Amino acid sequence: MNIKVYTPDVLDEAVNFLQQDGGHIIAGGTDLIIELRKEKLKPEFLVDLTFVNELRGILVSDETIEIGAMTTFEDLINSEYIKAELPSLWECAINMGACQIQNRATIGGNICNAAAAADSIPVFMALEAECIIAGADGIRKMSIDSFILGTGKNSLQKGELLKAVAFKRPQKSEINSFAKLGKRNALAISTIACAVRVKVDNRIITEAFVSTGSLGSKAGRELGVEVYLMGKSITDLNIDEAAEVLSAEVEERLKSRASIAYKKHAVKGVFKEAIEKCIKRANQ
Amino acid sequence: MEQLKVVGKSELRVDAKDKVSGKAIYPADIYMENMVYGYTVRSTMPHAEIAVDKKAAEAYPGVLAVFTAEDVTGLNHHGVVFKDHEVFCSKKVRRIGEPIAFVVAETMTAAKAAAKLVNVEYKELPAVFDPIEAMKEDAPKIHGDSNILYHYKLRKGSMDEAFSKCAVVVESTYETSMVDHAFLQPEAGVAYVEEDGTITLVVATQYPHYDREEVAEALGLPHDRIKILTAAVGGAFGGREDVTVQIHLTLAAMKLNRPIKTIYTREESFEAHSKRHPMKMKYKTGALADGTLYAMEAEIVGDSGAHASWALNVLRKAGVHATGPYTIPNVKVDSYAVYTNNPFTGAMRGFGAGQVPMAYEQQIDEIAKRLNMSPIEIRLKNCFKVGSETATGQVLEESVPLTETILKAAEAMNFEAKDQSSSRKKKGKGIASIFYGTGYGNGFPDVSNARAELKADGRIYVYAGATEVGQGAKTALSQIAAEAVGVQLDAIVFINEDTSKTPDSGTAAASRQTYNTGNGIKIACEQLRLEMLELAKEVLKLNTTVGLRINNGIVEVKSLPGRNISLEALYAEAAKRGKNLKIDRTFVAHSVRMDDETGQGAPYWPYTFAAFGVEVEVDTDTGKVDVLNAVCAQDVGKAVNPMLIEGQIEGGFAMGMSWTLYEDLGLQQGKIKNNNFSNYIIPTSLDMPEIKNIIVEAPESTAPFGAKGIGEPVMIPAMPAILNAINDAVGIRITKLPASPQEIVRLLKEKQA
Repeated sequence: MNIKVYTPDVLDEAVNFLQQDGGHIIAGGTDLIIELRKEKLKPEFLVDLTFVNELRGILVSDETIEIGAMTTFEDLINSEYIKAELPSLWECAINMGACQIQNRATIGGNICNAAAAADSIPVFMALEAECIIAGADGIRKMSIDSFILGTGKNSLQKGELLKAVAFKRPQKSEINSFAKLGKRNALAISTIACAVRVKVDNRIITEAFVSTGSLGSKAGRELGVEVYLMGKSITDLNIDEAAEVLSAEVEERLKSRASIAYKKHAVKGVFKEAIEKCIKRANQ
Repeated sequence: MEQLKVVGKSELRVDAKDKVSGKAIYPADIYMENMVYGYTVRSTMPHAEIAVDKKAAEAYPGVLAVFTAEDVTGLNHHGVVFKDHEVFCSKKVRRIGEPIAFVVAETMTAAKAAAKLVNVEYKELPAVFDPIEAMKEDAPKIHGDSNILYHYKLRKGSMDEAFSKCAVVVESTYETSMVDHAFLQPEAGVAYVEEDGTITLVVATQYPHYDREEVAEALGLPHDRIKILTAAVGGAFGGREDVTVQIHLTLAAMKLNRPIKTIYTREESFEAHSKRHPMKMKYKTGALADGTLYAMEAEIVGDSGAHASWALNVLRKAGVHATGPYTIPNVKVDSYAVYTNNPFTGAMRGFGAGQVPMAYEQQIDEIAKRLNMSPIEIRLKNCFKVGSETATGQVLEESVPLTETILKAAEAMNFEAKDQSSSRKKKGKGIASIFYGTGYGNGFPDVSNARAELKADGRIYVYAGATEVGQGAKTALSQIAAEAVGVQLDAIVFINEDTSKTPDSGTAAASRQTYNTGNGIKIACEQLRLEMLELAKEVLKLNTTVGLRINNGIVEVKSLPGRNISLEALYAEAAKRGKNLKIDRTFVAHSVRMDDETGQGAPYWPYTFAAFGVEVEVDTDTGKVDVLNAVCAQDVGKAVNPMLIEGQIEGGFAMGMSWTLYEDLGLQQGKIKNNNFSNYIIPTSLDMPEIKNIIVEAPESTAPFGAKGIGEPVMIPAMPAILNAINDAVGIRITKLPASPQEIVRLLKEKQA
C-alpha cells in the first residue's frame, strides 16, 4: 500500500484537498484501512482529518448540541454531559466495538460509512439530528434521515465533508435510551439496534421517536410504534403490545428477506430492553 | 513418604515472561538476510480436475520460482494416517483451499501478485457435501471407490428386547458443527539451508519429529538432513497436527538455497488447517423404572472432508466414549468416518469424545426428567466408579473420582435452587459429566522418549520432543523432572525445541504429554538421581547412598551436612572418570487393541473425569443465551501445577462455550464464508461467566506423581452442560449446533405451536 496522505489542520484546507479527483477521506480508519488492505478501495490520495481541531468536540449550548465529525466514541464515553443527559448516545458508544475501536472510530466515520449496522445512526435519527456539511461553497444542512441514502451511500457530493451533527438539546421532559443485540457482548456488529426517545408530560408520552438499525438497508424511524406510544402513560405501558406493533411493522417492511423469521421476533426483545430503560429513568 | 517439593505448586510458567513481554519468538517474527517470500495458490473449487499453467507467474518480476506437483523431489504426499494429501494437487482437487502451487518471490507483494497469474483450469466434477449422501453407492467418490473410510463397531450385552424392558426410552438425532481451532497465531514458518547442508525449518507445530518424517518423505531426503526448530506456538488445539507450510518451505529453501518465509493470513489459515469433525448422531437410550441405564444404541457419522487426517482415530474415540461415563449393560454403537468435498477435519481438542456428550448427556437428562429424578441423582446412580466396566469391557480399577466431581459441582452450583428473573429472560441450570481416555489408544505404540543429563553448570538438562503449545508442558514437565531428581525448579533446563537435540516424545495432543512424557522424564530423572548419588557416595567415601540428599545444588549427608559435594563438582568428578551422567528412558503407555467385530478391549489409559454445572439466562425474544455462572469440577489425578490447571479449565470452558453458542463457519458447498474473526464469532472476556474451579485429586498409580492429562477433558462438559441448562430454562432440546439465537427462537416458536 503506497498512498499519498494529506494532513490539513484547518477545515478550508481539508475541503480544498477534496476538490481534486481520486481522493478519499480518512477519519478513524477502522473501516477504511480494511477496505484498503483488501484493495476494495484504491484511492490516489487520502485526506486525513485528524489534525483539523474544529472538527472534534462536543459543543453544548442552551438550545443545541453539536458534535464534531472527528469526535471519537471514546470522547463521547468520557463526556459527563453525554453520560448524564444522552444515555442513548453514551450506551451506543460504550457498546460499539471495543476499547481499541472506540479510541479510533469517529462519529463522522460511522455516519458517512453508512453501514446498515452503524451503531450511532439510529441514535441520531431518534434525536432528529441534522448533518452539517462543508464544501467549497460553504455550509449546507440536511436531516440525517435524508443524508443516509442506503447501505454505504450518503449524500456527500464530491469535494464535501461532514463537519458535524447537531440536534436540539434534550429538555427536562425527555428520556432517551439505546439497546443493541449483537452476536457477543463486545466487538460485535449489531444484529439489531434500537434507540428510543420520548417526551413526557405528567407521565403521559406526548412525543415518541423510535428508530432501529440493521433492519433493512438503512436505519430508520419506526412510525407505527411511535404513534402507538403517543398518549400512553410511561409508567403503565403495555410493552408487549408496543413490541408487537413494532414487530408487525418490521415484518411488513422486510417480508421478502430470509432473516425476517428471526428478526421480527428478536426486535421485540431489543425494543423492550430500550423502552424498559426509559421507564426506569422515568421512575427515577 | 517424603513430601512433594515442586510437584503440586503453582509455579509461574517458565515461558510466561517472554510471552508477556514480547520476547518470545514466533515463526512470523523471524527475519533473515537475503530472505524470500512464498505464497500459496489454492483451489477455488471443491471437486475438479485441474491443469496448471505457471509460465506467466514465473515471468513476473521478482519471482524466483513457482513450485507445483512436478517439482516435488520425493513422494508428492503427506498425511498423519493415510497419505491422502498431495503436497501440490497434481490432477484433481478435492476441496476448496487445497494447495496447487507455491510462488516464491523477492517480496510477499510480488509473490501474491504473481500467484494471480498461475492459471488453473478446472474441469468441475460432481461433489458431495453431506456425509450421509456420501455413504451412498452412487455418490461421487473422493478417493478410491468408497467414501466410507472407517467403521467402528461396539457390541456389549444383547439388544434383543433390551429396549422393551425399559420404562423410558429416549430417541433423537443430534448434529454437532464443524468448527475451527481459532488459535491466535496463523500458520507461518521460515526455512533455510545451513552450511553443512542441513535444511532447517522453523515452525509452530505440535509434533516436530513427525513433521520431519513427512518433510523427508516428500523431499526424498534422509531424516538427518532436516532439522525442525519449534518456535513459540500461538495455540494449537489439534490444528497444528497436519502439515501446512512445512513441506512447501523446505522444498523452496532446498531448491533456491535462500532463506524463505511464509505467513498465512487469517482467511488463508481457515482454509489451510483441519477442522473439528461435525457428527450426525442417531441415539437411543433406555432406562429401567428405577433410573438404571439399561440399553443404548447409537449410529455416529463423522464428516472427514476431503482427507482422512485423524478420522479413524476420532471416530473410534467417539465410538468408545459414546455411552458417556455410565455403566450400560446393553450397547450397540456404529461409528463411521466419511469423505466429502468439505474442508478436511482432523484433530481438535476433545477428538471425538467431545461430540458424543451432546447426545448422551441430553438423553440422560431427558430420562431423569421423565422418571421425575434429579439430573444429579441419575448421574450418581449410573456413573463409573472404581471397579466399573466400560462398554468395551475395560475395568476401571483405580482413580475414578467421577462421583466426587458430580457432587462437588452440584453443591457449588446450589443445583436445586431455582431463581427466575423476568418474564422474557429465563434462567436455568444444567450439569454434565464426562470421561476422556488419554493417548493414541487401541494398542498403538504410544511412546515417549526422554533424556536427563547433569551438565558442567550443575544443572539438569532435560531433553524431550514435547512441544509447548501453550498448555504448559515446559513448566509441568520441568516440575516433574525437578521432583524426580530432587532439585529446585530453576535447576532444570528443559529443551524441547530442536529435533536434532531432542528424542521423539510423540505428539503434543491426546492430553498425553503430562502422563506419557511425564513418565518418561520421571524414570530418566530418577535413574539420573541414583547415578548421581552413587558417584557422590564414591567421591565422599561413604558406605551407602542412604542418607544422602540434594540441597540447593549440593549433595550432602543429611546428618553431616559438612560432608558434601556440589553438583558442578560432581559433574567434574564424573568427567574425570570418563563417566557420562546422561540417562535415556522410554515410556510406553498401555492400551489393548479392540476386537474388530465387537469393539471389546482396553483402548485407552488412564481415563480422566469431569463434571461441570452452568447457569444460563435465555432471552425468549432474541434467543440470546448468556452463561451466568459455571462450576468446573475436574479430576486431575494429581495437580502438578494448580494454577496452570485453572488456566486450562477456563480456556477449555471458553472453547466449549464458544462451540456451543457462537461458532459458525457458514459452510456452503464446501466454502467457508465466515473466515475471519469479525464474522467467525468467538467469545470475548465480556461474554465469559464467573468460573469456579474445583480440582479433584485421585492419584493414578501408573502416572508421574499420580498426574493425569487434562488438556481436552476440561473443555468437553461445557457444551452439554450449557445445553442442559437451556433446556432447564426454556424447555427446548438443542439438536443442532450452534445453539444460536436464531435456532433458539425457532425452537421456542416450534414449542409454542
